Amino acid sequence: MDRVNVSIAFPVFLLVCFGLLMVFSASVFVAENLTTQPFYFGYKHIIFILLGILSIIITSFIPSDFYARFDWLILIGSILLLCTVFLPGIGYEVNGSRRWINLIFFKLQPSELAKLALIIYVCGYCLRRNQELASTAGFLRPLILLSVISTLVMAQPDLGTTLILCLIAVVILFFAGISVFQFIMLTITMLGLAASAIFLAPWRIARLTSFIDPFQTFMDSGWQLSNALIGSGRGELFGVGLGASIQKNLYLPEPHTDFIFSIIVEELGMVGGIILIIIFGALVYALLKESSNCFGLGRYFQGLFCFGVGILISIQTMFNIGVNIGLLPTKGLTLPFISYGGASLITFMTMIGITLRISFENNNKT
Amino acid sequence: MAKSLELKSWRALIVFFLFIIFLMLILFRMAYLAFIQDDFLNNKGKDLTEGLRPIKILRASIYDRNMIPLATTINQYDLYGLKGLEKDDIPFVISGNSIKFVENKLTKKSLIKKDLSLEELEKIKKLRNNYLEIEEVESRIYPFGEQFSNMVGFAGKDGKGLEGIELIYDEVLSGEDGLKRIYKNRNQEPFKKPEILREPYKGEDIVLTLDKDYQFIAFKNLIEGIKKFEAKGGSVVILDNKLGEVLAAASFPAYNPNNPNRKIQRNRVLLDAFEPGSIMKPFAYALALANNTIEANSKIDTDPGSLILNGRKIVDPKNYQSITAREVIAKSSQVGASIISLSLEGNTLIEGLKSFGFSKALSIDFPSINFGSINQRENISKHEIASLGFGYGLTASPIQIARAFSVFANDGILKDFVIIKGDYVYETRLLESSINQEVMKSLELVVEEGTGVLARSQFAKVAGKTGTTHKVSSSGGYDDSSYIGSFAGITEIANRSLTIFVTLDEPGLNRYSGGTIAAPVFSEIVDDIYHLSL
Repeated sequence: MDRVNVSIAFPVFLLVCFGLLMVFSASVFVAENLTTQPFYFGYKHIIFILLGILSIIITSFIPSDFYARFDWLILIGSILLLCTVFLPGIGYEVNGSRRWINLIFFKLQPSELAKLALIIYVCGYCLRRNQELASTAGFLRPLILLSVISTLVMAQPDLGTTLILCLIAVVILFFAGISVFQFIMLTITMLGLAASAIFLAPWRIARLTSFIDPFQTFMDSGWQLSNALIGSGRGELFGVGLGASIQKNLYLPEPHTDFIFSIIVEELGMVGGIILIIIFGALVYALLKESSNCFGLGRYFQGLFCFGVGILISIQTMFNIGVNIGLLPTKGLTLPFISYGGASLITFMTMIGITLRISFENNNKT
Repeated sequence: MAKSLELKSWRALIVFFLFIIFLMLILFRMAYLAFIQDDFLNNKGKDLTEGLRPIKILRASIYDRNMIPLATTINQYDLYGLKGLEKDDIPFVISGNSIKFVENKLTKKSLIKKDLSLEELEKIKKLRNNYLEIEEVESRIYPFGEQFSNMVGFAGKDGKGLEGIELIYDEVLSGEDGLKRIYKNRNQEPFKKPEILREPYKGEDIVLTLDKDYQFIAFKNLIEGIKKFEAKGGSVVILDNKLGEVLAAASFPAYNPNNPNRKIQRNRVLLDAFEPGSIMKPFAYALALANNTIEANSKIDTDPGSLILNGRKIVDPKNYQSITAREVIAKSSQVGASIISLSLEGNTLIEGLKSFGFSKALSIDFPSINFGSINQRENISKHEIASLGFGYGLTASPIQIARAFSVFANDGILKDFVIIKGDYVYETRLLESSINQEVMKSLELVVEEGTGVLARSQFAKVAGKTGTTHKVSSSGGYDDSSYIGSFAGITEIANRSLTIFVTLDEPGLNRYSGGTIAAPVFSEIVDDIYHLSL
C-alpha cells in the first residue's frame, strides 16, 4: 500500500467524499420532485463511486505501456461508441440532445470516455511521432482524428465537451512540441469554428446574451445563470449552512450536476468554494509532479498522460466554476469528481487509476 | 525523441501562467459576488422565495343577551379549477356554461363549486390534483336575517363592517390580521415553516342587550300590523325599564343581510326623528304638575272645542267642555293640551322637554343616529308653545320617545338606555314620585276609557298614550293624507317592567290614528310576551 501515491489518492478521496455529500444535499428536492424519493440521486451516486473504485482497482493491474501500444484501438472504440448514440433504440435523447447510450441501468455518456481515449491517443501519438511533430503532415494526422471526434460530439450537439476535447488535444500537442505558427493557426481555426457554432444556433446566442446580463432575461433564458449567481451571492463568506440551500428548491436547474458549485458556495460560502479549489490545486500539482517524475525517468508517454490528466482536470474545473459564477457562458460541463453523473465520475476515476499505476511503476523503477 | 519534454519548458510555463490568470479571475469574481453583489443577489433571491402573507383572524361575533349569535363568521371553502384542468377530472357535475373548455381542458381559472361540505373537502384533498384549488373564504352569517338587519347591519366581503353595529363597532370586532413570511419553492410549495412577523389579534365579541325572542315578537307583530293597516313601514322598540336596556328594536322595511345583493334599509328606531304629536301631551302635563301650574283634578275649559293663538286655530275633534287635566290626556284634547302648555313659561317647557331627553344624545352608538331637535327660538310664540305641548315643533326618534316614557314607568327616574350588555346605565330623577303617579293615572285612563282602549291586554295592566302625526310633506307644510300612527305603552309582564313604543308609517287612509292602528299592535305584543313567559 505504501506504493500508492497518496498525494494523488488523498485529494481524490476528499473530492469524491465531498462530492457525494454535496450530491445528496443538492439533489434532494429535484429527486423528490422527479421520483418522490429524495435520495434517489444520492444512492445512485454511491453506485457510481463504487464502479469508479472498481475501475481504479482494474487499471492498477494494467501496465501503462498497454495504453501506449493500443492507443489507436482505444480511440477507434471510443469513436464507435460515439456513433452508437445516433442509433435509434440505443441512443437516448434529452432536451433535443443525443448524448447518452441507454444501458438500462444507467445512461452512458460516451463523450466522457472520449476524453480519456483522446488523451491516450494524443500522448501515444506524440511519443511515436515526436520528431515529425513539428512537420505539417505529422501535425495534421491527429487533427484529422480530433475533427472526427469533434464532429460526432458537436452533432449531439455538445459544444462544451467539444471545446474541452479540442483544448486538451491542443494543449498536449503544444506542450509536446508543435511549432508556434501551427499552434496559432490551430487556435484561430478552433475559435472560428466555435464562433460559427454559436452564431448558427439561435439558442446559443440567447445563452450568450443572457450570460452578459442574466437578470435582463431573468424569467427566460437568464433563469439558470441568475439563480446560480443568487446562490453564490447568498452564500457570502461562510454560506447558509450545509443542507440549507434555498436555490436547490427547484429554482436552480441541474443543482446536483452542472451547477453543483453554485450550491456548494451557497451552503458553504466563498470559504467552502476556495477550499474546494485548493484541493483541486493539490491534486493537479501532484499529477504534474508525477508527470515530471516520468520525464525524469524517460517515460514520455506516462509523463504526457499525467500532464494531460492534470490539464484536463484543471480546464474542466475552471470552466465549470467559470460557468457557475457567470465568468463563462453556460456550457454543459460537470465538476470533476463532484458532480452527479456516472460517465464523468467513472472516467475521471479511471484516469486517476492509470496515474496511480504510473506512479507505482515509477516507484518500482527507482 | 526530444529531450525538451519537461515541466520547466517555456511551453509548459505559458500553460501554467494562463491557468493562474484564469484562477485569479475566478477568485476575483467569487469575491465580487460574495461581497459586492451580495445584497442585490440576496434581494433577487428573496423576491423569488419569500412572500408576505396575512394571518387571517376571524371577525368576532355579535350575540344577543342570551349569547345567541346574531352575526358570526365561518370559513367557507370554494373549489376552483385551474387552467389546464381536464374535463373528466372535475369531481362534481357542473351546470351552466360559465366554465369554458378547449379540447376538454379548462381555459382559465374557474369556480367549480362554492361552499364545499367537510366531506367534499376531504374528498378533493385526497384527489391530490394540482389543477384543483381550494380557496378559503370568510363568510359572515346572520342567522336571524331580516329581524335584526337594521340593528346589527352587515359586514362586506372583505370582513369590514358596512352598516349598523357591524359598522360602528368595526374596530372592536375585526381585530387585526397577523403577518407571516412564507418560504416557497418553485412549485409554490412551502419548504420551511413560515416566520411569524406579527401575531394576529382577535377582535372582541359584542353582546347586545337585545333578546332574540322579544325581537321576533316585535318584528312579527310589526309586519302583521303593517299588512293589516296597509302601512309603508314602522318600528317597534321594547325597553326593560328596570335594567335600562333595549330588549328589541324592530324596523321595517328590513332586508336580508345574508344576501350579497341586499338593499340597505334604515333603522327607524334610531334614525327616524319625526314630530311625535299627541304622544307628547303627558310630558307637558307632567311638567305643569311639577311646576305647580295645574293640578290633576283642576278643571280645564276647552269650550268651544277650539282655540285661536297668534291667528292660528287649534281644534279638537269635538267640544269636550270643561274636563280635568287627566281627562285632557285620556281624550287627547288639543285645546286642553295647549292650555296646559301655556300655563308654563316657554323656556320652562322647552328645558323640561329637554330634560326628558328630547333633542338630547343617547348613550347608544349607531351610524347616523338622529337625536331630533326642538324649537327653542328666543321670541317663541304662544302658538308654538302650545304646539310643543301636543307634539309639534320638535322631532324625536322612537328610541327617544320610548326612553322618555320609561320615566313614568320608573317612578320619575330617567334612564339612559343601552344596547351593549354591560354598558353603564346613567340615571337621574326627573319627577317626584307623587307627581309621577298622577301622570301614570292619566296614562292608565287613556287605555281604560280614552283613545287607547285597543291597547288593552287580557294578561296585563297597561298604561300608555296614543299619537297621530301629520307627516311633513316634501313641498313644505303638513301633508293631509300621510300620517304616522303611534302608541307608547307601559306594562308589567313576565316579571319585567316594559316600555313598548310602536309606530306605523303612512297607514291606509281608512284607519290611521295611533289609537286604532298602533294600540292593537301593542296589545298583540304584550299578549305574545305573556305567552313567551309561560
